Amino acid sequence: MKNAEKNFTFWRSLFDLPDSFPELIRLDSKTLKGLMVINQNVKDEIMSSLTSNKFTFVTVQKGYGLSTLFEYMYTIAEEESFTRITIPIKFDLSEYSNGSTHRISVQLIEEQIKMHILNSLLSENWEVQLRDTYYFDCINYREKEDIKIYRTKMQRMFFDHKGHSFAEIAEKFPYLLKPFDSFINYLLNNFRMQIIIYYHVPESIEEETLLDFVSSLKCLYDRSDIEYAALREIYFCTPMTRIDLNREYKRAFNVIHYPIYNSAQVFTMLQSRYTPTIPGKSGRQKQGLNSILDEKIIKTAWKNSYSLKEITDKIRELILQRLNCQEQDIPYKLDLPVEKTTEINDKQTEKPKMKRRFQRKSRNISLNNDSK
Amino acid sequence: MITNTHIARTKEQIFASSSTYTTPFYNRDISKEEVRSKFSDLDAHQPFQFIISYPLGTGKSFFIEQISSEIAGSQEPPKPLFIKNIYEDPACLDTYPEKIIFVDECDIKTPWEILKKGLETLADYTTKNCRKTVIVGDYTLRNPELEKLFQYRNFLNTFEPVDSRFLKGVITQRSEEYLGLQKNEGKEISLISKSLYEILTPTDMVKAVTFRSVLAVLESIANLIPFNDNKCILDIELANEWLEKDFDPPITTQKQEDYLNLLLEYIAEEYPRGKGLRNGFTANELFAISRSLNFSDFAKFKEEIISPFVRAELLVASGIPSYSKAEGFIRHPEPYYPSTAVLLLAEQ
Repeated sequence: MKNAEKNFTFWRSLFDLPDSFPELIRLDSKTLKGLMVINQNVKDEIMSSLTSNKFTFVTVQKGYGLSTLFEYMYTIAEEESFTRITIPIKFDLSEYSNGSTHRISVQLIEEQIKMHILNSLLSENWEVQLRDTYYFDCINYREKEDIKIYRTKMQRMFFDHKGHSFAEIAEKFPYLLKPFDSFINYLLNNFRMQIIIYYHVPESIEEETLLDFVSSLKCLYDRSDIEYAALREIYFCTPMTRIDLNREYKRAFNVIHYPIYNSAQVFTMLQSRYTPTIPGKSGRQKQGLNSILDEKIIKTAWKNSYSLKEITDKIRELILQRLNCQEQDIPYKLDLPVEKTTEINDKQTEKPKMKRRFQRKSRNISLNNDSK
Repeated sequence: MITNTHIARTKEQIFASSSTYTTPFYNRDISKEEVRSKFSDLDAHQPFQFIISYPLGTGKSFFIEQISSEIAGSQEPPKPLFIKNIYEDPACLDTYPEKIIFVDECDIKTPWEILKKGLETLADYTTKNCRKTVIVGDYTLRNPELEKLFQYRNFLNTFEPVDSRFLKGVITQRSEEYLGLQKNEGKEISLISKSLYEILTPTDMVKAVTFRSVLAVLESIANLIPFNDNKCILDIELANEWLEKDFDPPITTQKQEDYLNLLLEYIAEEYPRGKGLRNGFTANELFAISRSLNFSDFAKFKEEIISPFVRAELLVASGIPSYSKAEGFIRHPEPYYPSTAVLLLAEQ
């Protein structure tokens, strides 16, 4: 396969494709909204769940873009917060796992939520939406200067450079010292404002961290009297961590299963991330990926039991098989290799002979499932 | 007659297993009597550390809510402290307003370090100040290292297990409450078939049965009830429909699926409906079932099968949790019992 690697490098260079092709590189905050391939029905279901349920679980199969979906839904929530009069808060548990020195405590969660809310109240021109007296009270504004200048100054002083402790910030903004339930209820009662906390619970989270988190939540909420409409919680997790969370702290959740991506969606992701170019009269010209890569390769690589990484690894493997040829035989458009790929078919391995009372289901509820 | 529509509309309340709904309290009369008797004649100048140590999901917090105002002499049930509160802020013991200090969540949900330090603080405080305390948690409180912290300990000895009679009583009482039926004392509402009761509350497996697990399964099954005026009966056929359509535990490898099928076959042959499984399975026994799957060693088997199966609620761990420097907090020790869903699968 030495030829194949060499030919693959050559083939990519024809179209100015990066070495990472066909890997699905994680989207960053700049590219997230534009390049995200979202299941619109499920997105609507999630938005709808938040209006009518206090607690929502969104489960994503391991290896199917849980973190990306979390970031995407939070980004949307942030953009819509002013019009909807909500404050979305992001709480990412991956920051506390894998050797982190920070322990999750009741105090940490409470302070993080309060500071995030205050920061949001300072960052937008809420004075056009909210009742003056109460809003000015929250941000400790005494009308001695223009409010926009005041907000910007406070943000820069206390939030842009993270060096101030909660106690220091609370000295300036006494609103932070209210008991947790009163703090949250104040926003609903005076502004009809709702707080929505977006939690990301990765599969890799250590048991200790998860239990620390859950026990802290319990301590915070069970001793609080937060009004029903004041707070919403939405958890982005895998099916396994959903069970962990639900077992440790049982509440009435609405559960939404985000389906695994089918081969068409995977191809769309590749198309949106990689734009081949060819030389043209006025510089390089963009082409669609489908002009150089046959969809059959993605369909062949896709399996409902594979993670996204396994699918793209398989795509790469099929490409290399196709390019295992003489240089003069390298095609412009890659199609399936001529020899049948000998995939390791799980069903062919020798299994103990037994009555199968149980078989795993796929949680793919997409209408266009082309499972094999 | 109780119809499908009646239950379809009220299933969340009838089969509630969390504090989301305020459900009526049923039974535990013997346990209440024991608590009353132990608190009736206490020496005001002596500490008293009453420990309620039973598995998660068996209704301990709900139980203590029923009896706490009586023994504390307060109008409303006192809000308990959580052991994490005591760990993070020991001064909360001084400001706790009730004459008896109620402490909850002393269980595997709390990291060992926090649990031990919190309990040490509580034990010291109540001993030095001659205070009375009620400590609620799971079998972790029976761990010798934690038990010995409490010089003036006294355990609740009777806590009625979740057997079929208890479950029938709960279902009957809740159905009467939420369907507005006349209270028909002594007459059970037959909403669940006899054979399904046998699987939900197997006589030989009382140690492993919890309200939380049984009610969660019943609610899942009840999700399939159609809206019509037929008599409502939850039976094994409907349970199988749930298993077929909706039951999807998060096991991800072929080996795990194969092992589950071996386990189901073994249970179906040797312990149908959990009969005879009084002592549960040891980890070694579970390993022995896996012989044909070529696990390289016992440690690998525990990592690939036992831990994920406990997490996925296919197995229930019933031992006393412990701690060691080498292994950390062992939260899910043997013996292991099959969960309700596994018993139902084995029935197929």
